[in-house]
Order: sequence, then C-alpha cells, then structure tokens
Amino acid sequence: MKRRQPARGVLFIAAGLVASSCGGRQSAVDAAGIQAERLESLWWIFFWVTAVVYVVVMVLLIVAFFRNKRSNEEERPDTIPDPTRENRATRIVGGAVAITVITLFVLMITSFRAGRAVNSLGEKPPDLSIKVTGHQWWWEVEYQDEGNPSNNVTTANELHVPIGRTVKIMLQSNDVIHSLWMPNLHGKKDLVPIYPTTFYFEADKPGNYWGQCAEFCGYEHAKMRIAITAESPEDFQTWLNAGRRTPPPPSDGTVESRGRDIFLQSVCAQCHTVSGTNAAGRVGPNLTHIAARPYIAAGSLQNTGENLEAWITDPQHIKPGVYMPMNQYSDDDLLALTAYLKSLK
Amino acid sequence: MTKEELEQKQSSDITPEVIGSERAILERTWDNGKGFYAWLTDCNHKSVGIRYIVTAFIFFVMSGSLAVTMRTQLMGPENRILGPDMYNQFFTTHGTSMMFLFAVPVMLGMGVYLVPLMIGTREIAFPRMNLYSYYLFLFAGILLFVALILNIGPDAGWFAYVPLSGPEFGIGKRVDVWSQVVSITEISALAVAVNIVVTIFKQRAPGMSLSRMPLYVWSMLVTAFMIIFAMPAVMLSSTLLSMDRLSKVSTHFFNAAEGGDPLLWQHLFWFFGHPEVYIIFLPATGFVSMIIATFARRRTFGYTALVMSAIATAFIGFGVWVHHMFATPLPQLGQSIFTASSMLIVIPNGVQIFCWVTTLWLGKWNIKAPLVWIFGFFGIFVLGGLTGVMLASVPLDTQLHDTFFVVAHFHYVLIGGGIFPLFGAIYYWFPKMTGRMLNNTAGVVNAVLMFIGFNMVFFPMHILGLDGMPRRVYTYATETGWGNLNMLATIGAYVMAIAAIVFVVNVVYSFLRGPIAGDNPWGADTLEWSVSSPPPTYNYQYIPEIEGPNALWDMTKDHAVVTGLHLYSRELLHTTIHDASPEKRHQTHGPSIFPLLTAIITAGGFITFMFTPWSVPTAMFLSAVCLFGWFWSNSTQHRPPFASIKDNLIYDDGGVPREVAI
Amino acid sequence: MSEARTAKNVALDVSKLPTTLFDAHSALWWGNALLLAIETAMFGILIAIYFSVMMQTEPFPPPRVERLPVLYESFPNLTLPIVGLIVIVTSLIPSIMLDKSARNKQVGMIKILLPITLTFNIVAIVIRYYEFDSLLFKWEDNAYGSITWMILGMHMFHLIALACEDVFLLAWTYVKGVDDKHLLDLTVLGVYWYWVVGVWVVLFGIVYLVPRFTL
Repeated sequence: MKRRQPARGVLFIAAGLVASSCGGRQSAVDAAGIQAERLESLWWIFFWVTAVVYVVVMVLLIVAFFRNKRSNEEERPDTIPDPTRENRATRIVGGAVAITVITLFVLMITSFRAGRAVNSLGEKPPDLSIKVTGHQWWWEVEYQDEGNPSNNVTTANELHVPIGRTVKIMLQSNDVIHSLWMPNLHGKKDLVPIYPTTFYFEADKPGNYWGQCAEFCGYEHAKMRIAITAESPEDFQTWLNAGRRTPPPPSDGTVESRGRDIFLQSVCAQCHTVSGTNAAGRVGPNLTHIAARPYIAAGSLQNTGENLEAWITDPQHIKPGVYMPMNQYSDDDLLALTAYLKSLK
Repeated sequence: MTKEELEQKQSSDITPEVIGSERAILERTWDNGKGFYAWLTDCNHKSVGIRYIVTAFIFFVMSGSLAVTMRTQLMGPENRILGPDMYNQFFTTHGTSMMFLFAVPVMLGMGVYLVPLMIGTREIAFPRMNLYSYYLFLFAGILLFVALILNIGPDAGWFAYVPLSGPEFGIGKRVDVWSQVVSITEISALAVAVNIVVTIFKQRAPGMSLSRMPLYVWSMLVTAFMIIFAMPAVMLSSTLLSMDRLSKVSTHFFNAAEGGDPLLWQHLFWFFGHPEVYIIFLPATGFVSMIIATFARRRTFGYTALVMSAIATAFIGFGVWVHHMFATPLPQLGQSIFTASSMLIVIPNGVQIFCWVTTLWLGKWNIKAPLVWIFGFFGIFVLGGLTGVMLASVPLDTQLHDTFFVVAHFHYVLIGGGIFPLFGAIYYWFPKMTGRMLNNTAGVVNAVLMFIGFNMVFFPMHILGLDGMPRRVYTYATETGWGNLNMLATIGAYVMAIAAIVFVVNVVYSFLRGPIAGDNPWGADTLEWSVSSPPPTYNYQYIPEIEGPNALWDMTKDHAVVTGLHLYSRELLHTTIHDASPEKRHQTHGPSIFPLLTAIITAGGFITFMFTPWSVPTAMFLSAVCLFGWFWSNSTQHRPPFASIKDNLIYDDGGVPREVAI
Repeated sequence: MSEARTAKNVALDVSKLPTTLFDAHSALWWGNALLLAIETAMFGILIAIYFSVMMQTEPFPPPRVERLPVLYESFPNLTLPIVGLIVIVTSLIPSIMLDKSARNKQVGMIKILLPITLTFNIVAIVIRYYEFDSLLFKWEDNAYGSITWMILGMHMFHLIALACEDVFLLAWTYVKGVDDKHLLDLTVLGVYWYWVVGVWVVLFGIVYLVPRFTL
C-alpha cells in the first residue's frame, strides 16, 4: 500500500502533539476511579488487538506492492486462474475469517464482562445520592438526604464527591436531552425527558476533574461544563455541612447589604434562589453558596469579581443565546451586588 | 416462445451496409434534441446520471466549504469566527448536505449511469421517473442552502433529536426546512431505487444470469433494496416531526407531555440511519471490486463470497441501530444484543477486504490513478472499521459516544470507504462518460494529497475524543489543551481543500483538452467498455449475448447479438430474472416535460407544508393533474391492439402498418 | 471488444417476441410491487409507533379529557368502521372481475367494471372521511389521537390514489380504446387494489379490535 514515509521530524512532532493531549482532567485515559480504570483497560485491550489487525493488513498490502509483477492495459487478463492457487487462497481467506470470528467473539465477551463489572457498583446501597437535573445550559445538582429532605443541598455546575465511596447519580432533564460525561470517572449517560435514570460511580484519586455535556442541546452546548472535586470523606463532609448552612445575612449599612437589596429588588430574584432571603426563582442556578464555587457560567469563567461583573452585565457576550438577560447597573450598584454575591460562601 | 425457437442461428445477415443504415435510423429515433427545452426534458439515463453526479459534487464543494469554515473556527480555543448560532447551522447543514445531497445522490447517480450500460441494455426502466428524481434532488438542495443563506438553516444536527428539534425548543422554521429536505430527497432516492431494481431484474443482456452479473451491479441491487426498506422510516419520522411542529396541526408523536416519546424519534431515525451508511458504502464496494479486477488484470477473487457479503451486510445492517443509543436509558440486556449484531456485521466486511487483498496478491498490477485511490481506501477504511469495533462495545462506547472519536470514526469509514472509491471510480469511468482521459499524474497527486490531508484532519480527532472533547461544540476552553491537535486538524482541512481543487482543475481541463480515450482504455471486462466513449444515446446497437462470467474477457469473436428490435421506436429487450433469456420487447419513452412539472409540484408541496397543512391536499390534486398528463402522453404509436409485430414497420396512430425501406 | 462490426456474429432475432406480458414478466408490475413494498414498510413503521404509544400509555386508550363529555372508556366506535370495512372488502369482487377481464381481453366487461370499482372506491372514501370521528379523539389531543389519525389518513391517501388511477384508466379506455399495454395496467391496478384492501384488514384489526379485545 502506498504510504509516504514520514520524515523523522514529523514523527517527533506527532508524538509531542499526542503527549500534550493525553491525560488530564477531562480524559478517558487518565482514570481516577475504579470504573474508569476498568474502561481504560478495556480501551487498551481493544486498541492493541485492532492495531495488530490493522498493521497485519497494511503489511500484506505493502508486501504485495513490492513483490508484485506489474502489467498494463494490453496484458491478457487472467480469466482462468490456476485452481491450485485459488484453492490455497480460499483456505487462507477461510482461515482469516475464522480468526476474525474468534477475535470478535473474544472482544465481545471482554466487553460484556467489563460492562457487568462497571455496573456492579449499583448492586449494593450507595453511600451518597445526588440528583442532577440538566437545564439548557447548566447543571442543577442536589445532594439528597433520604432521612431528612430539608438537609438537601442544592448547588449548580459543581460536584463534590468523597473518594472511595459509592455515589449514586440520579439524572433527569428539565428541557431537552443532555448527557453527563465525566471521563476520568465514568462513561456518559443521557438525561432524557420523562426517562429518569441512574448510575453509580466511585472516585479513587483526589483531584479536580471536568465533566461536560455530551449531547447537543442547543446554542451553548459547548459551554455546559461541570467541575468535579474528589476529596477525602472528611473534606467532603466539611463542604457538605457548609452547604447546609444558610449564609448569615449581611450587617446593615454594609456594601454587601446594599448589594443584597439590589439583588432582591431587580430581576435576579425572579430566576435565582438564595436561601434565607425571599429570592426563590427556579429558572437559573441556586446562588446560595456561589462564592464557594471555583467557576461560574457552567465552567465558562473563573469565579472572580471581574468575571462576575462581566457576566451580570452582559451574559450574551460570554455565552450567546443563554436565557439570562443583560443587566444595566451603575458602577456602584454593580460593585455592591458582586460584593454581596462574594459574601455568599 | 422458447429460447430455442428464438435462436435462429442462421449465418448472419448483419452486413456492414445494414449496420451503417440501421445505426443512422437508431440515432434519429433515439435523438433527444438540442437546446434548453430539450435539456429540461431529456430523460436519457446517461444525461440524468451525469447531472446527478455534477450536482452532487457541487453540493460536496459547498458542504466542504462549510466544514473548512468550521475547522477554522475550531483551530484555536475561544475563537470568535463563528458564533454558536452560525456554527450550529453550519454543522447541521454540513451533515445534512453530505449525507442527503452528496453521498447518496452521487452513488445513485453513478448507478443510474453505469447499471444500464453494464448489463447491456439501452435505457433505464422508467426514464421519466429517473428525471423526476433528479429534479426533486436539485430542488431539495436549493431549499437547504437558500435557507442557510437566509439564516433559517436547520440547527439541530443532521439527526435532529427531539425535544431540541420539537415545537417547544426548535423555534422558527429551521427544523422544518430540514424535514422537507429529508422528505424530498428520500422520495427521490426511493424512486431511483425502484428504477435500479427493475432495470437489473428485467433488462439484462441475454446470457447475463444473476451469477454472471458484475459485482458493481450486485452491490447496486442490494443497495436499492436497502433504500426501499430503510428510507420510509426517516421520511415518515421527519413528516411526523413537521406535524408536531406545525401549530395548525400540533400532533404529539414526540411530545412527552401528551403520551409521546422522545426516544421514539431516535429509534425511527437510526432504524433508517444505520442502513443509510451502508447505502453509501455498498456501491463503493462495487467500485472497489471493479477497479481491482481491471488493474490487477484478473477476475475478482471470491465472487460468491463477495455477493453473499453484500447481502449479509444489508440484512445485518437493519439490526444494529441501537448502537447509536448506547448512552440512553435503555435496558442493558437489549443493548448487549446490539453489541453482538454490531460485531457480527464486521465479518462480511472482513470477508470483502480479504477477497480484495487476495485478488491484488494474485494479480499483476497496472498502477494507475484509480488503483491508487483504492490503496487510500484500504488505508483509511480498515482503520475506520476497526474503530467501529470499539464503538460496538457498550461500556467502551459510553466513553467514546458523542465525542470527536466518533467524528473520526465515521469520517474514516465514509470518506475512506465511500469517497476514496468514488474518486477512483470517477478517474476510472470519466473516459467512458466524456471520451477523454483524466490526467494520471494529477490523479495520483490528488489521491496522495487527499490521503495526507484526511489523516491530518481526522486522526487527531481520535485522541481529542479520548481526551474529553465532545462533538458539536462551537468552541472549547484554553485550559483543556485541545488547541494543538485542533490546529493540526485545521491545517489538514486546508490540505484536503487543495486536493479538491486539484480534482476540479483536473476534471475541467481534461474535459476540455484531455487525450481522447477510445472505447476501452483500461482493457477492462464489463460491457460498457465495448461501446464508444461516450456511448451512443441508445448504448448498444446490437445487444451482445453474454457467454461467461467475464463479459468482455470471455467474449468470442462470433458471439450472438440481438437483432429484430424496432428501429423506428425506442425499443429494448426484456429478459427473465434468473437466467436472462429474452422474453419480450419493451417500448421506452422519450423526452417529456412532465417530470419537471411534477417535481415542481412535489417539492412545492413539501416546502409549503412548512407553513400550512393545506398544502397536502393542494399538492395531491396538482400532482394528480400532472401525473394524468404524464401517463396520457404515453404514445399509442407502435402499439396496435392485439396485432402481431413485424420488423421494420411503422404503425400510424390509427394502427395501420406500412413498410418502410431502410 | 467492439460491437458487432463484422458479419460473423450470430443473430438472436427477437422480432417475434411480444411487447406485453403480464405479472412478474413486466417491468411495470415490478415497479408497482416495489412501490407497494415501500408503502408496506411505511405502514409497518406506523404500526410499530402505534404499539410504542400503547406501551407508553396507561390505560390504553387513554380517557378522553380534552372535550366534554369526558369518556373513561374511549375505545373507538365500531359501527361506521365496520361498514367501511365491508365496503372495502366487497370491492374485491368487481376488482377481481376487472383483473380477469383484462387478462381475457374482454373490452365490454372492462368498460362496465371500471365505473363500478370506482363507485365502490368513492363510497369507501366518503365513509372514511366520517370514520375519523369514530376514533373519539382528534389528532391534536394526544399521541394516541395522532397515531390513529395518521394510520387512517395514510390509508385514505391510498384509497384516493387508487381512485385516481381508476379514473385515469377509465378515461383512457373510453377515449383511446383498449390496447395491450393498458390491459397490463389494469392487472397492475388489480394488484394495488388487493394490497389496499389487505393492508386495511390488518390496520382495522390493530386500530379497532386489538385495544378492545386483547387488553
């Protein structure tokens, strides 16, 4: 088969490019949990088997290219091929087909076993239940407390999980089909309206990872990310307890209290919820503990004062098509508002 | 009338004088006229086929330009060349036009051109319906691209999942445009499929039994049957979606709130969608078989195995659709069955590859441009097929589904498995279609550039997918580190664009000034190479009898030829299905304006359906009027009631025969 | 190898062959059969959608709450559908006779049977127009209403197409007279007729009988 022999330089560049993109915080080949590890090994098994097959076929063609006698249009075609060679070729092709069948069968069994193993986590009761609701273009995350629903913690676009524990994720969609994909931890699962579904996973390596929506869901499908933090059970419990606390109201006369008044009097309260105030909107993310989040706008922006101001003033510039309207505030008002939001730890 | 009674093996009365004068009469009888009106009404299968191919390639270039623009947007993180709205319209239009306006029509167009020639007949079974199909296809393409230019291009992806494409979230007419484009192109393809099956069944040259049919004809026959059983599903589902969306109709097929089911859409679409890719791939396998045989100077190894593989692929292809839905909340056991079937389908594909490799191994190679494209096919398609095996595994697919890995996979199989053989076929049959050779060196450069460019674009996407990059994203964050590989992919896209330019230049230049080809420049085996390049309108003055599996390579000097077909009417021969013995003569039709008129009504009906349901009864009525005219214009000439037919007589409209001197 | 350029080729003289043969020997028959295969696939998908709605809807058919009076038992009324079924099945009699007359070249019988079959057809269409109300739902009420209307509607489309074909052959027979090719057309019309009837028997069972007698 005719292939250009790549220059050594190109090979080095290629290796560099591959290396620069392999692994990382949003990678299926950098497992941080037992299931993702199982999936990663499955990937490598399939990879090596198929790579060998590919190389064998290409080598055959390249060898044929070099050993073959050439001909032209005038050459008498071989209309009565030599039966001995034909029969031998038939046996060889038959053998190749048999090898193909066996290989596929083995791969299929390997796949079934890996699938069963990955799903087996769901056989015992989970340590933690989280309900994730997909919205156009953000993730609503609600930590469940079975015994005491008033202990449920609602947040958005972030997931904290304790390592070494089984987490149950319950998925549902508020509008269109989304897909929750955390490649370092588990395969993806679609969030389909009227088809609530569940999967179980376990994180084993502490760290920060990314998940992203993997089913095209409209304008800002590209910017619907979720930040995952896997931490020790103690750190996780600290975070969860902080989430259960209602943030104390700002003292009167402070810039934060002025910001809170602006928040409650403008359109913000119509879409967002802040526990402990009258703001109970359900259209947009819950902002009760927004200051504790590393990112805003579903992973599009780091959570800094400057970014908050830019987002509040003109979300359409950052995520065109998003449902949050533009908001005009005077500089002082904007500063007060962001100061208030930064106080919501 | 038995074959024995027919075979009057008298020493021939086909003298050179008779040949010449009969040819002159045939030329006049089969002449389709000149000028614009003649061009609008010309139903000849070669004219329609070439129009299909040229129009499809125009859509290919337009769609490819969209892709290059998308790649430019993605070459770096947080780019602002295309905003999300434009990007979403672009990738939807790119997918829709490549699948519905290029890949399927070009394969059908090649079939429409080649099948009648390859089986030794003078015209396709239903020439006017053939032209009707072409016009429908053209109008659908105009609809899609005009909509894109007017900023109402569809934007929910080429498979338009509900609820995103439904009335609640798919605002405006965008998805309705998509629905109508799909409906119109599917009717067009269904009509061509019927045409191809009937032509192959009834019009093969005497002696061309099913087991002597060229492999390309087999692949078109199987493809046509796949079209017949797969396309109704998507036509229906796109119509149901339109009805859900039309506020005056407001059905609830996919509306979860009223008993509908969003997953139903996915089942319906992919039941069509998976066979669709085999509809694109199987004709390409036919090209591969033909080209390898000619350029390895031997009959393709494993004829029966290759035919069985095509049929097996078609059957199994209808049983794998759920592998597009492995991430949805469907029961695990059901999904595992589709892993098994998706792996099963690899086996016939493997058989095909092994047979072709064996043919090459045992043959003596004449390395010309068509064969170089086939080398590219092997390099790319085999890799794509193997990533398909990975995607067949449910757990592995949960990591790979809806990522750039899948984008890489399907481009490897569709471009490697479909487009590379297509380019090889163009280089192979261009001499027959135009009478001139394409430049061989430019062809090899074309293939190599396309191969390199293609791999630069799509190989990195495997890595990007594993590294977390989902599909259909108009941009990505800098910190993901995806920028480098995306940049490489974008550069590759420009290389592919250059390769496409080389192709266009080669075609245009060679069409005007390429070397004259002659009847059989490649020394090939199939029947089309026995007539002039380009062939006469009527293809064969004397349809040959086929004596062996290799139509031309086995042909003896005194082989039988068919005589006794009318000279003064467009007559061709019908033979039996199994062993192709002559059984009747068939009168076919000449130019007609009704295909164009009916296509305007059909397309117009679908387009106005985006706005009101009243278009349905209106279009039905107007179509009935057009079809009435279409059938009424069937001539009664040469078709006297209950009379016996004699050679070389003309019948006037009153049914009175009179002899005519030749 | 070029076409016959020499005087050495043996001649296979087909001039005595007929120009029209019936059934699977004719291209038109095959074209019609394949179009019917397409339409059968389409009805198959509609039936699958019907069963999909059935699995999603509990109870089935759903109670009618969109209009007064509210109906808890909302099986379709059977009266008019049964009349329609009888008309459609009975239409087989003249259409089989038409088929036979075409094969036996009985021009007189053809000229009588074409208007008779057309009459049966038009009556069936009129009954079908009023039959939609027997479904008790409108297409816009819910998914069950949508799919049942779609099934009845698509079949009505075929009843109308059948009538148009009948009208065309009627016009040709009376104006231009009968010829070989149009005898073939009449037999192909017969095939289409049998298919429309056969498909309706199946669809009738699914839409009207299955919910009432099996669930």
